[in-house]
Amino acid sequence: MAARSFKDLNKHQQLAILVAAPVLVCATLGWFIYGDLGVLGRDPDDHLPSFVHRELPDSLYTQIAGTEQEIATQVAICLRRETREKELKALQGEIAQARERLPLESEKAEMRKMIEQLARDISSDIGKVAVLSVRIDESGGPGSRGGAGAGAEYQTVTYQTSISGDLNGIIKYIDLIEKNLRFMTVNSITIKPGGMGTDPETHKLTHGSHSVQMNIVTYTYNPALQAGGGR
Amino acid sequence: MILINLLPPELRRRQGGVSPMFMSVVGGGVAALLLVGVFAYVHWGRIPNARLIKEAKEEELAKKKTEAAQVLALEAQIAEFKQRRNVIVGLLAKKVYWARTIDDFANLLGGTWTVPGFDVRCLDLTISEGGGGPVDRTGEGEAMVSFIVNWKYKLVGKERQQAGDYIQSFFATIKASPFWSQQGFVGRPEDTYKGDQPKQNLDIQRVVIEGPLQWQRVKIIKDKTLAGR
Repeated sequence: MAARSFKDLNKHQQLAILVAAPVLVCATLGWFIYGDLGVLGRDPDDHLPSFVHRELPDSLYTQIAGTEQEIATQVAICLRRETREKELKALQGEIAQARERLPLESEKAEMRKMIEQLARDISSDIGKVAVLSVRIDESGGPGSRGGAGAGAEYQTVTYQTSISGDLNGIIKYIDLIEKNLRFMTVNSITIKPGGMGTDPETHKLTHGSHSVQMNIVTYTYNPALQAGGGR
Repeated sequence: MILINLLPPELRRRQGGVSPMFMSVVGGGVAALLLVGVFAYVHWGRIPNARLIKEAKEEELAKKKTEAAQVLALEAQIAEFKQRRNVIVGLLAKKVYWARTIDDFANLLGGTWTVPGFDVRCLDLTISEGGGGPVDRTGEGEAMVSFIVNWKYKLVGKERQQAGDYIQSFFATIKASPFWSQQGFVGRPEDTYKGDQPKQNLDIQRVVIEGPLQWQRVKIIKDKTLAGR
């Protein structure tokens, strides 16, 4: 029927159909190819001639190029591995020491024990000292960094310690605190000398124990405060 | 010779050129086939191939990201340590040691004076941080930590008439001592001396002079940036 209809048309009409039909088919195919070329993107291996390349932001090869760039970035980071491992290995000792000197936690119970232990560690031939009381004051708050945009990197905990002993014992005790691996400072000392008298039996001069109030300050590292410190 | 074509016009062989109809059918067909080929190559050849490459690259990226994350963790560990070390260095710069100072002070008081005949006792000693932390000495590239030493002295001398000599000797000996010059005390020992009232203690037959003194001890921090840590 269609063939008969086609025959019924005059020559010009037939020619028009014969030209229009392939053009329509080619245009449809071209449309699909155009779309696919957009999906594909710019092929770096040039499997297709460059004049048909069509690059869109979400084309496959655009995404591949982006991924390759990201890979290159990650590879550059990975290349630093050996150096960093060596560096870290060399720093292990120092890192352990730094953690001990400036821990993240205040470790109050350990500190309380240490304050007493240091007094016990002083041998009687050096001097005598006894810890009478320890009161913990955490109101010191974060330590401050100087300069512009000061933040905070550490927090202080103060141990208000009361001790008694002879002068040599007290000096040795302060020395042990100041030279301890755990970072501590003595920022306040009040010494009340003990009374003097004479021994009724030997008639020798006797010295009573001195009483000392001192603030032992410990520090805890605070990287969170440091990060928010506006540096 | 004359040739006569007796065929009807529609059956006669075309005299000149190719039929446009033939051309359009053949040309259109060839073009369509070519485009179908291109479409098939792109749609079923290049696009799936690109998808495979993309998947492989994404897989590789995920692997590299894991490896890189490990390196970044190492770097974070190193950076954290360096920051902690800087904090420690800063704290060390500000740290003032007292054990040796008190020891030197005790030795000084129990030592010999430029004028003989008197002894000195410390009745009370209070050391406290002064100035609320490091003091910025802007312009000099330095900062300092300051401590105030408050103490009460008691001089016990043999001769009432030599009270002035004892006092003069007391301050002169302190000033000349390594204790004063090496421990960072500022000014002169007698800067806060307000005078005295010697009292004769008849029980022990000695003259007693008492009074308070305030000294300032400073530690200069050469690198001002450390003072702020």
